[in-house]
Amino acid sequence: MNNSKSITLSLCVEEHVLARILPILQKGFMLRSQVGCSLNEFLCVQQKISSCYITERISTIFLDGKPVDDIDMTAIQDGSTIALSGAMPGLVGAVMRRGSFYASFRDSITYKKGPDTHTQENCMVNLKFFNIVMKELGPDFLKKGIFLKSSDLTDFLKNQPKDFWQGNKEVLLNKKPVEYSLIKKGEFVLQNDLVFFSVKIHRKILQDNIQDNIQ
Amino acid sequence: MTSLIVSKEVPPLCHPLGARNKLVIAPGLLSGTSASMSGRISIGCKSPLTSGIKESNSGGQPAQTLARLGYAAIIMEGKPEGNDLYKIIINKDKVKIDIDNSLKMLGNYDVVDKMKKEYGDKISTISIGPAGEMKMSAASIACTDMELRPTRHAGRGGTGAVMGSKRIKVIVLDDTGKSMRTPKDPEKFKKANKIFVEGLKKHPVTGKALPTYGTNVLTNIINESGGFPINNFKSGKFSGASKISGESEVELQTKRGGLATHGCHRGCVIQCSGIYNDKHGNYLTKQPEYETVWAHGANCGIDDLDTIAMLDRMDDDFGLDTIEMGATIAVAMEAGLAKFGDREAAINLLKEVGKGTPLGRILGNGAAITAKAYGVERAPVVKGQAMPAYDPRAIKGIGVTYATSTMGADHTAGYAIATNILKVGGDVDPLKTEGQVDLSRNLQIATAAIDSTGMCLFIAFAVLDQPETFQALIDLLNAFYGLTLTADDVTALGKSVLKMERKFNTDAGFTTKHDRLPEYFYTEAFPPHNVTFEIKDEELDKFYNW
Repeated sequence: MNNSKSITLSLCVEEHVLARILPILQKGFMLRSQVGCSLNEFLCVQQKISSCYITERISTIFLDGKPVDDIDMTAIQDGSTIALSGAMPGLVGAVMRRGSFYASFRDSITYKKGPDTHTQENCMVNLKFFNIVMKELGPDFLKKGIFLKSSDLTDFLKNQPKDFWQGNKEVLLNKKPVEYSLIKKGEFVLQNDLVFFSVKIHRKILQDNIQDNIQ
Repeated sequence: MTSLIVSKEVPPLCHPLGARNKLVIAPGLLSGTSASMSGRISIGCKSPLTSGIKESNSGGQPAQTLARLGYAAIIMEGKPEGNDLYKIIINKDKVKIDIDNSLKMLGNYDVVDKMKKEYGDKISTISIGPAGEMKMSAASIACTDMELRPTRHAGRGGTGAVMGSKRIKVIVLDDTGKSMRTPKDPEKFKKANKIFVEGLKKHPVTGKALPTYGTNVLTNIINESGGFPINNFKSGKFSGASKISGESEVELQTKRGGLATHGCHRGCVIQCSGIYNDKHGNYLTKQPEYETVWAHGANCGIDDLDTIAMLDRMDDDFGLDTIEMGATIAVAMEAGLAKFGDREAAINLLKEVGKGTPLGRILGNGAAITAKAYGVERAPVVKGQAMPAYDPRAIKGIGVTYATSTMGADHTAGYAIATNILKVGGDVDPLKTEGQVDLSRNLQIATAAIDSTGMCLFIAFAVLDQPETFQALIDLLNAFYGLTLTADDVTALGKSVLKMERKFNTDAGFTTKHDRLPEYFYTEAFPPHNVTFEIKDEELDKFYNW
């Protein structure tokens, strides 16, 4: 999973466009991280998500496809997949919650104790953000930048309509401005590459104010 | 209400499509009042799909309209001679039953349009499509929503076939001139409703997840857990899940000018539904729900929301249960009638049902019949009814509910996650695997209790975490009827409903041997966790020991 060479793509978009980009986070993205720690440490220390947010908003967590009850009793390894979600409806939604009263319903698939691991730098960890987590944490993670499989990113970009691109104020490929048509075709990247993708919001009001002040 | 009447008045050994079966349609206890979430309608009969008792419920406007008209229930008895088709018109002055053969074999959308032209747009309707007229076991009964569209269905168990057997195509309800039902203690009622609504709004599920994404918010979660059945329950993880998830569905609906947050009836504060527009921005159907997205999507290997929405629209129009039809098409795919993932073939198979071709007649009678007709062993059914969107090998507790429910495989039978507040069934250690039968029993009792109130089951999420919200529900009932019900009374009600339903099924010939999952769930390992259903028969047999 470790891949030090990658293409960078940065978008500066209007706020309504960001909402269109967020769903890409549900399929999964990667972060270069230190592993050999607990999930709690990974989220709080490395990703700087407040423990209060984790307790109150991230009610449902999966590690490698297994529902987690105790985030301290976990071990993040190179290539681990972490999925984060808010509280879910339905009996099965409740069953999947951390520390659920109904945890026994999914006993055979529950994440038990993690393997013994040692600390390793520069590894890749997969994340998936669902529902409210996607909305609430997604913008910050996109701003900092994430790694995406090029096929996932190009599939997404190819399917975007004209108004999506109209809401893009700046497109930087490897830090150089490019025409959006190049990006839209998806030909800027090879199929198996990783792309370091970041998105920031174009502050229109701020720009307008600056314009006003200049005038 | 419906189970009480059916268990007392319907002979358990009668033919479901015969004159001795009855169809009972009852609004909830608080329907027609200003109580939030009170718009569920319950429909009961002996099921042509399971041959046991059936209670199937639906949202939409008819519960409110019927209650305001002053009806506690409509009971249809007997069976008319001949082939005429009837419509029933109920308003504040009278009940009229007319022959209307112009409605024959019309889809629900056309039926509603016709009724709108004849009786105006202040009505609500309860109708059947061609599937009900053809007495197919997967036929549903449609209820109109706030926009007067037939999008809400009492889907499970073939209630539409029973209505069809009585030759009733549509019931038109017009509550013009009637006002809201008034409580015995208006002040107490108003106060309780305020607390109840506040409780729903502040809860993360009823106040955030459901209004924002609808029930399809579950697709990503259940898929991630590996319990999301794909290709006729072959494995539990779908590579196309993110394309059909609630998050993607909402994004698409918003982009096309639909609605992502919408109620199915007036007075709903959860608003878990929405409006799904086609590529051109025109209305196609309501927001397909989680069970539909799974049944017509992942379970058939289909990862395209437009195809799923089209199948949902067709189900609503033909009057079919989306869970049963999705499971049936998947069985047909396994039988080789189409390839998994073939969108066009799925649509064509459903068209066969609507037309009533010989193949369509087989498919329209559900997954079990289709599997039999084509020699497929892997039919995911219990008591003849198809399983919903959770694999019981990965989530074993729900397998207990599928196996033991009086309704056949039914996720909503044990849906009301309120048992820690209701304290039903004594102390249970939820951490023990062996406690799953006890837990499932408690869930089914709690669900029967909440269902009896006629409130939307989704209130149960807020009730689970917030005792004051549950108390507000009891206060609403007490203030309206001048009662002094306690939580224990509500629990006792749930128990008595389950007992009645169990007795009906026993008298209809069911034994504990029917409380089992199909054999392959015990022997076929389910990827990615590679687990089987391991709850022992002796454990399941303890379910009704209380």
